[in-house]
Amino acid sequence: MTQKVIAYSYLIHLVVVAIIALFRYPQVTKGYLRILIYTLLYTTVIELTAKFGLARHHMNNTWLLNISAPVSYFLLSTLYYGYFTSAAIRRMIRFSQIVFPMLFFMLVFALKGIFQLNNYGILLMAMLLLSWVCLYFRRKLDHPEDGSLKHDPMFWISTAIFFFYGASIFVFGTLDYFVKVNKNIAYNLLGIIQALNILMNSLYLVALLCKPKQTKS
Amino acid sequence: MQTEANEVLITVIIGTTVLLVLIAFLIYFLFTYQKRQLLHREEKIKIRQQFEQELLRTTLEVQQQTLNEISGEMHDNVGQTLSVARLYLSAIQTAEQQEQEKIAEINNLLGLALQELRSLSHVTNSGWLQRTGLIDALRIETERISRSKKIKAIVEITDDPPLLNADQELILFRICQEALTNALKHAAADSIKIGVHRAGPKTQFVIADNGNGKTITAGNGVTNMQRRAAIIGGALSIDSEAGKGTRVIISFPVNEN
Repeated sequence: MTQKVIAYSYLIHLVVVAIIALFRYPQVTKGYLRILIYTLLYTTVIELTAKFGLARHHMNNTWLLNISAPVSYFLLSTLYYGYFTSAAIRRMIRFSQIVFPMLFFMLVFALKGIFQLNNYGILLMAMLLLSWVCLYFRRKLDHPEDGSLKHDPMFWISTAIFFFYGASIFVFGTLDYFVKVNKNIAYNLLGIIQALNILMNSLYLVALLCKPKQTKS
Repeated sequence: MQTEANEVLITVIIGTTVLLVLIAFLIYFLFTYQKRQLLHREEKIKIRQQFEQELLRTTLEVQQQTLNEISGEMHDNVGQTLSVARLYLSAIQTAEQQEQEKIAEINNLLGLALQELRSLSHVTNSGWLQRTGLIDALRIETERISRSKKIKAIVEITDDPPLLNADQELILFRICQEALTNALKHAAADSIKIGVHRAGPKTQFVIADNGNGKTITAGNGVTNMQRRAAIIGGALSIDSEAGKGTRVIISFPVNEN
């Protein structure tokens, strides 16, 4: 019952955030921040399709989630690609965007197949995204002159990714073990991920609504 | 039922631990960022202060160079012209008593002008200050002011003055000159005293007048004086009260060596 409540809360919350993001689109001038809006819209479409298009008709929707993960990674990493100015970091991101889908689908087909949740692929995605987040934190520490963090949308986005994918590393890394030991614990852990999803989308919303400080030219 | 409760408990413990680790990392990041921001801000202020001091030092150097040139011109050109004028005047022979008196009066006035010109030439010249020393230079300056008969200026030393190098002495002398000028212009005082004495761990230069206490008004260059005092390692403060005069205090830490 609790799982269901969390799942529906997550969906409603996601739709609301996506609608607000859509209205916010004209005010968002930075290209890489617009990618966040595309990400939210994309996730909304995928989640609604998975929930109401497939699951309602008793169809396995895991394949859709498996396919959507590389696209989500591409969008989020492009966001960091737009943010960073260092050529080396940008090259690494571009490289990961090419290599990750290949590795992801290799894991999908080599381990569990398309109709099973590819937790190792998601684990890889989480590690890659956390690397970009850590590079962002590092950059901030190297440039304290950038000013207040609360006015920096990238800080909110990075915090969101940090919490969600940080927890994902643990959850998806131990999922197989808990499935073997106790399926209910594994199921509950996935519930935590849903709750963190709500937190992540809320922080995305903060990023879109926060006003970046105007720098004097 | 018991098993279900245990499962929930395990999940909650795991979830909380993971979240706590993530939160701890984020707090550490925020704390470090704030610390670095503070350091950066302090560094920025320090650089700005250094720049301002450098700018002021350059301005003072340029000012001093100009003053030295004016001093040289006064001494060599105007002074020489007045001396020659005096010589010519001495050479005038006349039998008229009235004319002789006028010539003597003019000669006297020229002598006074020459004396004044020399004093002015000295107090504007940095080389003269170096040769004379700060305290003697201040005495000469107060004597020059007192010659106007409008105001009595004195120097009173009760303790050892701070050990300053030539540049610092010059800047301090200029601050004292500015304080004296302010008192002359605005205070309507009949006496000014420059005192040097020890107050606790500090040596103080005090320029005190007995005027209306209005010596310090906006535009009197107080900020400039304070900046100059800071350049030489001192601190300038002003203590004034309506009808009770003004005290400009320049404090230096006591140098025991």
